[in-house]
Amino acid sequence: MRELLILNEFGNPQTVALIIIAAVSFVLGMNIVLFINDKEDDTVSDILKKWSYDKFFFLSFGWGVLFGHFFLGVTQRPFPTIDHFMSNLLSDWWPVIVVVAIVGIMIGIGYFLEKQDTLRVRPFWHLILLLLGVCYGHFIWTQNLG
Amino acid sequence: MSKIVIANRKFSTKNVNLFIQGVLIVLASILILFDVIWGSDGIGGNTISEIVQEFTNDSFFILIYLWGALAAHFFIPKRRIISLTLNDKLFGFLTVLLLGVVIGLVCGNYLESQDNTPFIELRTLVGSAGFVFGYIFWAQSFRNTPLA
Repeated sequence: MRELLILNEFGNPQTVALIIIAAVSFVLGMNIVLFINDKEDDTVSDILKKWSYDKFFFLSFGWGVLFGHFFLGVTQRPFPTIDHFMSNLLSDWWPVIVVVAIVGIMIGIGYFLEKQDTLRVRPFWHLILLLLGVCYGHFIWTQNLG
Repeated sequence: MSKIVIANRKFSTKNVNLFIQGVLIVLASILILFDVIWGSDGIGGNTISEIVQEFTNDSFFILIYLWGALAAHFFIPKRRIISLTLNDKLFGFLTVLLLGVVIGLVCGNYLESQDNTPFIELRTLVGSAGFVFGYIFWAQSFRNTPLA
């Protein structure tokens, strides 16, 4: 009973909001310290930039996916007949599974090409990845299904 | 005073970058793990996505703009970044923030007059505006990338 209560409090939307705000504030505070210290090029922005032109080039795609997923969203997926063949649980979760698979493949490619020393990402490709991500989050991983 | 100097030196060591990378990865992993728990506990309306979407339906509409600006800031560096007397990064951030406040006030008034209906078109427009302003004023340089 007590565990249930704690779990209930943990799942409380207010707790979730608090945890999100705490995480963002932590990163912001850390970034301010990193910004005003003596060393240059060590802020979170620098790290993310370095990563995205390196093995973690999936980051721009993920950022776009989250943009579409958080802020946009269609009320009906294209090709809704696909969902009719699935159970309720699977039709809820397949967009997540697919995006995890895509990101996993991208990380794998990134590690492989980095080892081969042939990884050359350009800003143009990041723009394309961002737009593809937004489309995925908007049309497929949508929150607004009616 | 000396304590501050020592702390600053510790932060300036070579390993700090690796440490911060680790912190970011651990934080993201914790949030994802929590979100899986929240998504599968059957309560509903308590995942990160739903909370963030709810934020943007009213007072934090400008989060969309910031998300777009950060996309340009993180992933689309430029050869020539805008640099004035103030530290260029701080200048860019403050400019983008100021434009965001203006856009937020305009959109807030408009949304209030429209009974807070979330418009996909308006959201796309605000996100794109964030991206464009972020690219113009707040882009990073190519330093430390293979393209430098």
